[in-house]
Formats: sequence, C-alpha cells, structure tokens
Amino acid sequence: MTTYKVLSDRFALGEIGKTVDSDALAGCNIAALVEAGHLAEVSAKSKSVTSEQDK
Amino acid sequence: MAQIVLKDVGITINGTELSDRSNSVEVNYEIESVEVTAFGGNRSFVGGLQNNTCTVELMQDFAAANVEATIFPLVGTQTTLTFEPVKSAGAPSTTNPTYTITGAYLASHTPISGGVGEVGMTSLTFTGGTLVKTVA
Repeated sequence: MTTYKVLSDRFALGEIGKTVDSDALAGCNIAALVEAGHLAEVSAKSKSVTSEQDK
Repeated sequence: MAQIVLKDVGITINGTELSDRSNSVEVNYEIESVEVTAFGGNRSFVGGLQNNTCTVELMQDFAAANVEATIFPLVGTQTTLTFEPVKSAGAPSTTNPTYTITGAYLASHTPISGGVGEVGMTSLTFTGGTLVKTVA
C-alpha cells in the first residue's frame, strides 16, 4: 500500500498536510492527482536489516 | 419538497473539489432501449446497457493544482466523479442525494476556449462508468 501526502486544499479526500493511502483513493486516477500537484507519494522508510553473523 | 434553485452544487472530479470553478453541470443516465418486437404484437422494448453522461462547465484556471492541472492528465482515462445538489448540506440525504460515478471516461479537454473579453471556459463530458445514488 502506497501512502500519499495531500498538497492541495482542493483535494476532497483529505486535508492538506495529511496523508492518505492508496486504499482511500480507490476509483481515483492517482497518477493524475500526483501530476496535478494534489498529492505526493511518501517515500517508504527503509528498514534496517541486521543479519546475524557467525563469530 | 420544495423546488430547488442550484446555488451550491458540489462537484468533485478525481477527488478534487472544483465547484467554485463551475457554473453549469448536468448529470444524465440512460438505459438503452432494445427492441424485442415480435410478429403479432406492438413495438416492445426492454432495457439494455446503461450509459452515464456528465457535462461540467468549468472556468479555466491555470494556477497550480487548479482546473487545468487537474483535468489535463485525465484525458483518455477513467476516474470518479461526485455531484450533490447542495454541497453545504453535509451528509447525503433523501433531499440531498449524492451521485457518484466510478469509471467515468474523459475523452477530450479544451484548455483554451472563448472569445475576446469572455471568461475562458472548458467544457468536459464524461461518459460511461457506474452510477450510484447515495441518500444516507
């Protein structure tokens, strides 16, 4: 699931500054919303993976 | 039920509130008539496929995240539209139903249209999709 930050006060499905996920955008053309400047994809934070090493 | 004068129609296109840029809207749905007339009877029809047509007149605005920016990438794609007679009425009700069309297709957009001294307008016609009326 992708998360988007609301950039525009015209966007009706979330307040500006808040985030919405792709489930809440069902039926919308997300690419068009991003291109229009209403939404910006929020980059997923990468999890640090620590592998156990044999000593 | 009183007559209604359209003053505050709610219009969202692809989740974007554009009511304050519109001065005319029409939501239409029809179910095709399929003739099933047989010998020995009068003309007879049954319902066929449903088609929805929504026409929205918008005053063009090239500002960021406004009319043109919203509509330009929608051409040739499907999206969701919502319409309500009185936007400020809040939740849908029997006297203020919300009409939602999912999968509405936009075939064209005219970014610049109008004569000298006129407000630049753009007329959008969405077709197809699935119409749902919500009253609660």
